[in-house]
Parts: sequence; C-alpha cells; structure tokens
Amino acid sequence: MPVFKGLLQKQLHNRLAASRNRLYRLAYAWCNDATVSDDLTQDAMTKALRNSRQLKDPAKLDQWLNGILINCWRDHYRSRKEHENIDDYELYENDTPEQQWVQSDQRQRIRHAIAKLPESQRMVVTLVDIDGTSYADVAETMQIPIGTVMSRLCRARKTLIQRLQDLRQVTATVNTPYLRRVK
Amino acid sequence: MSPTHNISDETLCAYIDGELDQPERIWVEQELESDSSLRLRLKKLAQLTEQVRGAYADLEAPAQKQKNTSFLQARLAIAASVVFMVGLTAGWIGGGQYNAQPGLLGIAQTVSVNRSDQLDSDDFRLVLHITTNDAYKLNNVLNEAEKLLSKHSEQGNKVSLILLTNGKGLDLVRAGTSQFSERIKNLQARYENLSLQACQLALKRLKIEKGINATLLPGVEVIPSAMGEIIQKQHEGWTYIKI
Repeated sequence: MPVFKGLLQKQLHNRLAASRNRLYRLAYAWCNDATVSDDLTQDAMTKALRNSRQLKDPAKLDQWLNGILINCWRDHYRSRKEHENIDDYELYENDTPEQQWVQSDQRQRIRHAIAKLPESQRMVVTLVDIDGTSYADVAETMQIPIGTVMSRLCRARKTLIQRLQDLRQVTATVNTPYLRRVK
Repeated sequence: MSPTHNISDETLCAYIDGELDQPERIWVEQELESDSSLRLRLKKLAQLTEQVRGAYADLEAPAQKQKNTSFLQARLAIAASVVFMVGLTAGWIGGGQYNAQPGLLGIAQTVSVNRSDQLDSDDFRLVLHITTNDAYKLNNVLNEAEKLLSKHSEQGNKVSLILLTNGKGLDLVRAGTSQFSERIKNLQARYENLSLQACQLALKRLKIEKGINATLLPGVEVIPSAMGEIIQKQHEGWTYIKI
C-alpha cells in the first residue's frame, strides 16, 4: 500500500514541523543559547526524518522526539567538554554588566538559574514544566525509575526557588543608589 | 509530629503536576485546608512551576533554512487532509476541529461539538465553561488551553477560545483568589484570540450572598449572563466544554 504509506509519511512530516518550536524551547532550556538550540532542533528533526521507521507508536511521537533531542544534546555536550575554555567560566561567575542585566529581567533570571542546575535535574524539570511531559514518560525517555524523576524534579524546584530568592536579594542591593544627595 | 509533616515536597510537586491518584489528591487537599504552612509551600512550588513555564513560552525557533521550504509548503498544502487523518488515528473529535486531550475530557462535565459546516474549515472556536475552583482541574484546563492555542496558531488556523467563568469558577479570574494570575497574564499577552469572561449575575450573587465585592484580573470581560452567552455561542457553532 504505497499510497497509504506515503500519506502516513506526509502526516509524520506535518507533525514533525509542528513540533519544531516545542523542541527549540526544550533545547534552549538545556543550553541557554539560541544558535546551539537551533542547531540541536535541526539536528533532531533531521534524525527523526531519517529514522522515522523506528517510531513504532505514532501517538508517542513527542516522547520519541524528546529522546532524539536528548541524544543530540548529549553528543553536543560531550564534544563541547573537550574544548571547554576556563576563561568562559571566570566570566560566567563574575558580576559583569551582562550579569546585572540578566538579573534585571525575571525571565532571564529563571533561564539563567535553570542553566546552572545539574544536568540531570535540568532535563527533568524542563521536560515536566516546559513540555508538560508526564512523570512516566520522562522516566521512560531518560531510562530512570519514576522515583528518581520525582526526587530530581523536587530537588530542582527547591534549588530554583532558593536561587531566585538569592538573586532577588542581589538585585535589590545592585539597585540601591550609591550616590546620595547631601545638602 | 503533626500529620502534615508526612506530606513531602515530592508529593506536593506531584500534586501540582496532576500526578497523584484520587485518594492521595484528596488527602493532600484535606491537609491543605487545615495547614497554612503547607499552603505556603504549595504556593511557592506552584509559582515556580508557572515561572519556569513562562520563561520559555514566547521562544520561537528561527525561520527554517532554505532547504526545508518545500517541506513547509507541503505541510500547508496537505493541512486539511492531515488534520482529518490525524483525527482518525489520534482520537480527535468533531471532524478534526478540536483536539480532545484525555486530560481535559477526563474532567469535563459536558461536551458539545457543533460539526455543522465546519468539516472543511480551519476555523476553530471553543468555549471552556469553568464552574470549579479546583486547582488541579484549573491547571489542567490552562495546560490544555495553552496547547490548543499554540498548536492551532502554529498550524495557521484561525482560533478563538473563551474561558467563561461563573459560580466557583470566578475564583480563577478574581484578583486575590486566582492562583494562576501570572499565567493568565502571560497567555493574554501571547494570544489576543483568547478571551476571559466573568458572568455578571454570578458576581452579583457573590456580593449578595457573601458580601464580596470581586475585583477581576486585568482584561477580564464582564458579560451579562453566562447562560445567555453559552446559548448564543452554541447557536453560532462554537464547541462547548463545561469543566
């Protein structure tokens, strides 16, 4: 039934295209970089198209795509580690104007805090919160027990609450005027 | 040790994410009623979840590279047939005009789909009638609403969604009682085709029966009567789901 197969293939393409923004958001939450996110998304979609026969259950397309994206991200992460520049690290931690700008915007603050979470927690919290993936699906995609999903998620959220609170205090200090008018 | 100490942060997280089964959910809700510190913990976690979701919601992938253009065009060209095909395979209802996620239908009291002359149309119109203040259900409703709006906007369909509140549902759009005010603000900013409505009769009833002068969230429209609006919208061919 080549006609039917062709139709199914087109249908898959359509659903893939519709998933693009979703994948981009997830990738962005993991790497906090627009260019890398775009590359990861393209990479994942190309792989998905090439290996579309591996998708057994069309209803699980999102989960399947997430798995592919996770693999792409891990490949990227591994390759990046070899070229890690210690100077970047220094800059990242310093109180630069960029840092201050990041702290001035709530959304940037959150993205920044998420980017600093340990990899394993960041994956879980972004899959659940940004993507709305169920615990069971996260467990299956990441191949970890559901209890681990729950504990990582909870730890991630508590760390985020704490970091955002700390950042807010830092911002409050930064915004305090240093100059005072004296008569 | 007070009983609420048994409720771990993991359980609270699972409650927020709608991952608890019915008995556990009821247990958490009972404890929440009597324990203000537990409510505070829940509030902090729930707020964070909202913030995380909101932090990435407006991100969009850059325009696709040239080599994929034909892929996009093909997508548009076969959109109508695909909507129908996916409808058959993935359990859509109403001839492909509404993607019925089990989450939403699982908590719906009434679903009425108007299928007249809509089969060929990409026009998508839905009234979600909210009569509950159950945080779990409301969270579910907002999740689904967001999914629908983003999916249909991405596919380029004309989409209109009304969240119509009365009775206990008013809590969702009242400043002070709404746990989702930040999220609603974000949704309103992103989707101008989403409208929030509150029933004036219900607001009056609230004032007479409980002496509450309700303040609504910004952008919430007051309509004379929920019932009148629903009848009118159904007459105009809108799909109606009561939560």
